[in-house]
Amino acid sequence: MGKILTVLLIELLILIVSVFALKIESTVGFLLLLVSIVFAIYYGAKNEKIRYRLQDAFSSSRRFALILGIILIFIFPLFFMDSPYWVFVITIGVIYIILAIGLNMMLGSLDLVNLGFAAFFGIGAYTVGMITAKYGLHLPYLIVLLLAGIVAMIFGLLLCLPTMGMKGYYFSLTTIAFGLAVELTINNLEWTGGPGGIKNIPHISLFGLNLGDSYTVFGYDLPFQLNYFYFALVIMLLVMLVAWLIHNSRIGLSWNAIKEDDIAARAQGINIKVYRIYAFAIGSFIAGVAGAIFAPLMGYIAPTNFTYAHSITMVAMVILGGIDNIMGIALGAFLLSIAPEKFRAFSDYRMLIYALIIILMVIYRPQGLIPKKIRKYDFIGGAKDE
Amino acid sequence: MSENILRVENITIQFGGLKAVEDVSFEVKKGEIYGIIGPNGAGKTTILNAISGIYTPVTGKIYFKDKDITGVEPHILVEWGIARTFQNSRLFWDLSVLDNVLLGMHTRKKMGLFRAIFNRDYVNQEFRDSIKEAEELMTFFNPELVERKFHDAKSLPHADKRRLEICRALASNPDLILLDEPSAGMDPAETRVLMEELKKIQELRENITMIIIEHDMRLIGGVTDRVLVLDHGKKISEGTFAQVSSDPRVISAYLGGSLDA
Repeated sequence: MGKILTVLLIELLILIVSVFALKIESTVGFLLLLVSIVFAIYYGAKNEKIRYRLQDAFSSSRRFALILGIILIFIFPLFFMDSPYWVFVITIGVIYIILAIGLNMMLGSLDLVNLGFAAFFGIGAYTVGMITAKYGLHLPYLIVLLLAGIVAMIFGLLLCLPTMGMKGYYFSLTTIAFGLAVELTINNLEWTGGPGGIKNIPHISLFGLNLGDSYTVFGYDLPFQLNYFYFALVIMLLVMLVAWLIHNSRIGLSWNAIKEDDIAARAQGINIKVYRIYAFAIGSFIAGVAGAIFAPLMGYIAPTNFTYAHSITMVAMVILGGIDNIMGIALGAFLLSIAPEKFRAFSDYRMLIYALIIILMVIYRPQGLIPKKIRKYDFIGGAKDE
Repeated sequence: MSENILRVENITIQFGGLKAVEDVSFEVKKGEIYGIIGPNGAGKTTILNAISGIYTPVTGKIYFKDKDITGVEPHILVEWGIARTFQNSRLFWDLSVLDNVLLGMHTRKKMGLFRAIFNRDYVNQEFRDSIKEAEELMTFFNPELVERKFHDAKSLPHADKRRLEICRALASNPDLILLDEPSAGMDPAETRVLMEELKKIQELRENITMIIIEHDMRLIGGVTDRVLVLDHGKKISEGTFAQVSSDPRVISAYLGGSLDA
């Protein structure tokens, strides 16, 4: 019972602190809060006793922790009903979590540093924009979502095949070129709206609900952004589940083997080409899906939404959060997509502060906020623990 | 049908202008422990790399179970029954000891994307079976490997790293296993234990054939049935260890100098 209480208290604390951190308006207050959080985590992690108690509590009541966590995430945006803007920012954060998990299939699992991942995001968003706004086709949204994923996946495979034998810098350079090529093509083609992008993308309508409408629940008028938050959240949870299932299968294991040593992996009978195709196909599909949520939420998309800088940010999210650890990646993506908003008070120095945080993190915690764990196979059931 | 499991016919392997292996032929019988020795740079590892598919010979053919395997990719050869270890242990260092052995079973335990996502009962059962099998295999070599199954491979003591690599190779249930200097970096006591273990492999897996590259002559003399001697990429002698070690060409290759001297 004590363990469940510990989990409950910790998760509630995280919720309260994060709501407070987003709501606090004084910049000094926010920085003070940030510093105290860092200290609390630092000393908590250093103290063996506390660390052991927390690990024990979370690992012995994993299901409870997971369900409670999901419930709290569902409640989270309700604290921001007074400002739809924050709900919007949080929703963008969720979309970036989806993107970062997709990117991790290449970057984290296979060590293929893709510096053009925003292109797949853009391709997904443009697919939706073209279908629904430019051509005004009235397809069911879920079909459009699927199409966005598939089109992004086709481009993913187009990038995968010629780069099949590439590793390291050569691969990264090629992906930079690919990202720029996609961005410039969208920017220069009249067909895709050029630099003006695509306007008036209709809202998602799903099972008779229009996500662009405000709904009134118990007398409260909910901002329409909240609909998008919940939709993005459901997709995010699905993507996380799929990522977890793949990581904990022989596919994830083979990816990690190739990442460690491709010659040794081949000597175990692993066909590297097949596993690279898997990573590209799934990763770019997920990015396309993220784009398909992004486009209708924004209502307007342009090439400037999918630049090289966005690709770099996505890579930073995965590395800072924790390579190959789903919770870590989610945390990294969320923090890095919220941070620029909190640093608005610094106006021109905003990106400087952002960059400083990244540099400090890489120096002091290169393994990420929540590092990857050794596979313990405790999900298979029936196996004895040590 | 011949009783030979492997037949190497006149292979030449060339890197640019350098002939690393020149016109070498030999046959390995089923169930045999076959040693390859020779001074540094004699082309031993190159031959192993050709058999396991990493290099393709410029000329010549390699037959495994009477099937031409020249130029076949390494991952397919594992499926056909050839496993190997590497000269400087190429384990998956950041993966656990257990994961390393599980990866060795890759060709026998296929798991596609659809099953991974939609058929978790299959996945769980597959992992349960694989883990049990992996633990049995590790126990055979060193029960300590099982105790450390959730540790990074890089955290193991040196001798256990070499053992783990042999475990991983055996996990694919090969008919032919290629061991590239299994005793490298071991002290004499550890090497003696290794010799016992190599002999035990044949009790564990009947009919398994082994090709061993070694510098440690006691090990070669102690475990091999026949030995191939290479020098400067050419075959200079073949036979039992006693035969080759009294062959004047072998002695001169190791001690230097020419035959006529």
